[in-house]
Amino acid sequence: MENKYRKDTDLELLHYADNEMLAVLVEYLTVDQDGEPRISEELTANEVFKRAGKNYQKVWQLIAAELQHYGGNTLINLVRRKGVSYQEILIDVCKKAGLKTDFDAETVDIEQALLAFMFDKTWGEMTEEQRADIRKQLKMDPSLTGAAAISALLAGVRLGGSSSYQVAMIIANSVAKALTGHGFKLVANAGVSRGLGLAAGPFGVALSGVLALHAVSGPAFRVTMPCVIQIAAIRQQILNQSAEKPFF
Amino acid sequence: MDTVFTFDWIKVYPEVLAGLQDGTVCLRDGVAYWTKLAEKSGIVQHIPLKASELDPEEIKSLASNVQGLAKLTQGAHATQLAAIGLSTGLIVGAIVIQTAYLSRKIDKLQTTIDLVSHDVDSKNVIDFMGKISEYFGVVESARQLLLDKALVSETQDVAAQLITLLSIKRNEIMSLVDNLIAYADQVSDRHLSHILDFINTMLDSLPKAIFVEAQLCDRYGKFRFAAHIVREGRLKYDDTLSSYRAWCNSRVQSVIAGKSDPAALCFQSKEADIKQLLISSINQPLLQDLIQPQLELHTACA
Repeated sequence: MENKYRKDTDLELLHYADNEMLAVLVEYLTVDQDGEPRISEELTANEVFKRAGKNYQKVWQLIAAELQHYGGNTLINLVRRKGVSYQEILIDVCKKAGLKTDFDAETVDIEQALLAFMFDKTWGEMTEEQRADIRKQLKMDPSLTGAAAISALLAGVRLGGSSSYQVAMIIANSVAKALTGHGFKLVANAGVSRGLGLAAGPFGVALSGVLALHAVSGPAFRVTMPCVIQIAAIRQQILNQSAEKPFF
Repeated sequence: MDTVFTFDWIKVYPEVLAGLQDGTVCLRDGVAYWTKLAEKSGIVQHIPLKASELDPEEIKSLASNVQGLAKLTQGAHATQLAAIGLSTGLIVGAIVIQTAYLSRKIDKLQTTIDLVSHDVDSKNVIDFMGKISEYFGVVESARQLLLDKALVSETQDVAAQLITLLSIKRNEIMSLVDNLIAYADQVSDRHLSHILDFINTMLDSLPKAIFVEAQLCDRYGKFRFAAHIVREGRLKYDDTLSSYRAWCNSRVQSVIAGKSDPAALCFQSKEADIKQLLISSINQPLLQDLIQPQLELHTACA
C-alpha cells in the first residue's frame, strides 16, 4: 500500500527542487547509515517512483508522502496512511534538538532558527583556530570578533537572505557527508561552493559530533532531522535562486 | 488542410526586397510603399500572393511552431526577412487573419469565460467577462471583414463603426486586466486554475486582436492610426504582461516559502502555458512598430 501525500503547503516547494537535492532527501528516507535499505521505507517499491528513475522532480509528492509517513507515529500511520504535516515534523525535530523558538512562526522562520541553532551548536564544538578559519571562509565582518561575529551571522541566518542560504547549504552538505559519505556535487553559486568545502573540514567534524548527540532520540528522528535540514536547505536554495533569476 | 495566402517572394521586385532591408520600403496590408527615407512616394508593388496548404494541427500549435511555419517563406528570402524581423510577423499575421486560428482561440476564451463566470460570485468579474466576450466578438467581425479586399468600397461605414468599437472596447478591457490579475490572488486553488487559463488565453489573444484592429485601419487607409494603435497597444500589453509575470513569480516565491495556499499544484499544471505566453515568439512580432508609407512626395520650400 502506498503512502498518501497529505496536501501540505510547506512541502509544495519540492516541485521546484533540483534532482540532486531531492536525491539526498530520497537517500535519507530509503537508506540507513550502514547503506542498507530501510525496512520501513515504501518509496523504492512504488512503481511510479521506479519509473521516474533519477527524475525525482516528477515524483516529489511520493517523496513528500514518505517523509510525512516517517514523521508520524508508525501505528497511527497504519490506520490513517497519511502521515503528519511537515510543520509537525519540523517542530518535533526542533524540540528534540533542544531549540526554543516561536513555533507559531512561519515554517521558513522556524527552519532558519533551526539552521542558526545548528550552526551555533557546531560553532561551540570548535577551537578558536577553526573558528577563525570559518570566519575567513564565510567572509564574516573582520571588525567583529568572538561572540559578536557569530551573533551577527546567526541574526542574518534567522532573517533569511544570502547568509541563510550559505549556512543552510554548509550545514546540509555537512549532514549529507556525515550520513551518506558524500556531499553535494553541483552548486551553481560560487560563494556557496567555497563554503561547501567546510563540510569536509572542521565544521563537518564538529557537526558530526552534534548529530551523534541527537542520534539517541529514536530511529525516526535519525530520518526526520536530516530530512528537515535538507528541506530547509532546498527552500533557501530556491528562494535565493528565484530572487536572482525569477522563475518566469 | 487550410489554405493560407502568403507573399510570393520570388515574384517580389528586387527594389522592394532591398528597400525592406534599408528602410526605404514598408509593407502595409500586402502593399509595398516607399517610406520617407526614399526620395519617392506611393506604391512600389502590390505583393503577389501564393497559396500554401497548412495542416490545421500545425496552425493550432502556432505558438510552439514558428520555425516550422517559416517554411512558408521561400529559400534565400527567409534569412533576409528574418534579419529585419519581418518573417514571423508576416506569416503569423496571415494565419491570424485568414484561418480559423483566432476563432478557435476566441472559442477557448469563451469556454473559460463561462467556467470563471460560473465559479465566481463577484459581479465585477462577471461584468468584466461580458465585456471581454463583446470585445472578441467585434475582433472576429473585423477579421471576417479583412478576408476580402473587394469589400472595401462598400464597407467604409461598417469599418468606421468597427474601428471605433474596437478602440473603445480594447481600452476598456486592457485597463481592467490588471484588476483581474489582482483578483486572482483572492480565489481558491480550484478557481485559480480557471482564472489562470482565462488570463493565459486572453493575454495570448490580445496581441492578435490588436494586430487585427491595426490591419483593419490599414485596409481603410488609416495608416497613422494603425501605427498609433500598435504602439499604444504594445505599451499597455507589455505593462500587463510584466504585471502578470511579477504576480506569477510572487506566487511561486510564496509557494517556495510555504506562505501560500496550496497553489503549487495549480501552477505546476499551468507552468508550460505561462512560460509559453511570457516568452512567446509570435506575439511581439505582431506588435512591431509600423513604418509609415510616403503617400505624397513633399519637396522642401526654398
